[in-house]
Amino acid sequence: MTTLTKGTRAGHPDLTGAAQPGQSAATDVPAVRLTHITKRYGELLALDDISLTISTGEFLSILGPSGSGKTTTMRMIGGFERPDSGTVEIAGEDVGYLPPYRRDVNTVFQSYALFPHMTVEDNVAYGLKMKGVGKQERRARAAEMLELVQLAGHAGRRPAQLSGGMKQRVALARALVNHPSVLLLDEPLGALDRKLREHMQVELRRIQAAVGITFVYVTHDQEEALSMSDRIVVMRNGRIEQIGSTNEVYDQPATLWVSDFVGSSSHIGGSIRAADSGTFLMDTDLAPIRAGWAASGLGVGDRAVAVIRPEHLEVTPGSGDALSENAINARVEEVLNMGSQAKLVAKTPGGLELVATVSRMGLDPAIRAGEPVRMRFDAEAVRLYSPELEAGAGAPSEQEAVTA
Amino acid sequence: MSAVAAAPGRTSASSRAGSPLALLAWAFERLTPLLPLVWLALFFLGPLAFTIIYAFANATFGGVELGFTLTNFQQALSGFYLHIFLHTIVFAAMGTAGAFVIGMPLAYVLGRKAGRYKTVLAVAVLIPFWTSFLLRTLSWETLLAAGGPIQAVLNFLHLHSGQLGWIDTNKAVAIGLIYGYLPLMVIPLFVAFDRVPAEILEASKDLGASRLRTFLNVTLPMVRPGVFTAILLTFVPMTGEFVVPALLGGNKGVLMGGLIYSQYLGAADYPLGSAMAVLVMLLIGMVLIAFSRLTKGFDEVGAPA
Repeated sequence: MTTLTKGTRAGHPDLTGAAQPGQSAATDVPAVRLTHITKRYGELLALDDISLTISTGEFLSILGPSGSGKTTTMRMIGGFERPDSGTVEIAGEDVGYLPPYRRDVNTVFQSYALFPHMTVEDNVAYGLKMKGVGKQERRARAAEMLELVQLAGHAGRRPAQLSGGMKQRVALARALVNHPSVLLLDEPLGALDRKLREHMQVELRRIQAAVGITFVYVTHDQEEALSMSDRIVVMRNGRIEQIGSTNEVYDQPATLWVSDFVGSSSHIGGSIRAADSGTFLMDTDLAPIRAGWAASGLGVGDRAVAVIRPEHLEVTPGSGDALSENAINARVEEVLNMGSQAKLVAKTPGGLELVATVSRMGLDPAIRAGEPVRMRFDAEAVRLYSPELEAGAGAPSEQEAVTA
Repeated sequence: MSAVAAAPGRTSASSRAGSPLALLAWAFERLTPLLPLVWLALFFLGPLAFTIIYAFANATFGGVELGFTLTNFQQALSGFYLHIFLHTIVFAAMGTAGAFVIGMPLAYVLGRKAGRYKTVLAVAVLIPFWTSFLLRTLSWETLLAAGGPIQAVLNFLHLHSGQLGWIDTNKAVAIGLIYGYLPLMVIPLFVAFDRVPAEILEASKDLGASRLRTFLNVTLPMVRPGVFTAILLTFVPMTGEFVVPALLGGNKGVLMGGLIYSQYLGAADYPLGSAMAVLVMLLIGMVLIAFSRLTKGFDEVGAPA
């Protein structure tokens, strides 16, 4: 995974990404630019003033729960929805009012949407046929694409004769054969089993690198987004919560909600006692917590929530001084075997749940259910957020019907 | 003797099976599956057998003398009778075509464009179907009558002048047939249009096909099975239709159904009527075979991928 940090944090008006290494020089014009897009379905505000710039050749994921507006955003780019206000530009051209068939964009649909009455080859060649490409060339290019998605030899089959993973590849080939400026993928791996999904994630990266087309990938699966993308757009309730590289979104979540939605973390509430030389000291019911970062607007006296990723909790057996900084006494609830790692769930005397991931190799035998442990962490690993943001977390379920 | 010898070993089993209740349960279990067969035999195969036997029998004055002769078929396939037989095929084909021309756009609008009014409109198509066919056909007699409302409309639009003389002609029969069988045409087509997944049509547009090309390349091929069902459902009963020609056709609009009816109940020539019925059945059989050949590869189209 590359560690590109070309995105900027949420809230910044300028979201244009810096050029990616290895990218051609003539890409000052972004592949997609959405400016102040708003979309309503009756009472429901599906998209609330969305602005987003996607660079050419980028693999961008739009991540969010059901009803967050991620699919609607994708459909705006594809031309299946029209914005109530705002503009959609593709390769510098305003396409807001062009139908899908006049846009240089192709889509891999969630249900694959293959034409059941056509062979695999005819499915793949459909877009070329619509463009008036001759039969010989159509066949050659379809064959080339089927080769790329490793389906050579299946050209004569019908979609009904293919497995889910194969259909998925045909859908991909059918879209890619047109060499669009942007490829939209709407949860394309959702219907596949875990093993196949992981395989296809690698495949998609390989194919994207091979064709160099901008991928816009819609998913609700944070692991998928983290493992595949150059950048992630995190959406919630029709708004963009954060845009950033995968590392930024995971290591520096912009809001408490993002920290909770992307990856897991332990939350400890308290109030800020002091702020000095770049660190913040927070009083809690447990030990005082020193944090290396606090959300803008937080000051001395404010209520705050400390967020710590599970891999940043260092667990040792026994207990210690209850009031020393960044060390918490707890009792192990359970140790879950996650394969190479173990997930350790512990509870403080006050009933607060803390989650840590520990290596199973060389795990101290004294760390087991029912035993006391001490959990330590560095100030750099702690981020403070305003607790108000937590109110209203979780998307309203009635939105699902519209955008799911 | 061997049965007796084997008996002691089975005493317990046979005593259980021998109780009247158990016997009844056994009979019930074994015989109920045969009931539909009995039903079919009594009300379908029986009459069918009689029809076929009669078709080869000799007609006597007001009676039937069993035997084997092809005279009835010769008679049914000659002169006036042949003319009516061919006329019926042409009429059923034309009526089906007429219902298709009207039904196809109607079903398309219902299935793809009606949005939330879909159900209401589909029911509106079906409701007349649930009222008496006889009544609906009779009402056309009033509508089409000389001096009636349709004449007034046609006169007003300058499409026709003077008295409308359509009643008791083929025109009235055609109108009645198309009207009567329109729901049978529309419903399968409606279901077919309705079932085309929106995402597949979006995929077609996404790949560069305009609305028209999407309709021709994707929608039409995908509703093909529904089209064949609709045509079959309309054409087959039309070949045997006798209410419409009887009420709207008068002497000039007789079709095969009416002719068979009059052979049975008017002329009491059962063998000739039976031969005609067998001919109609053969025709329908041929149509069914032809259609099943044509629709062979449709399994893949039916279920969306």
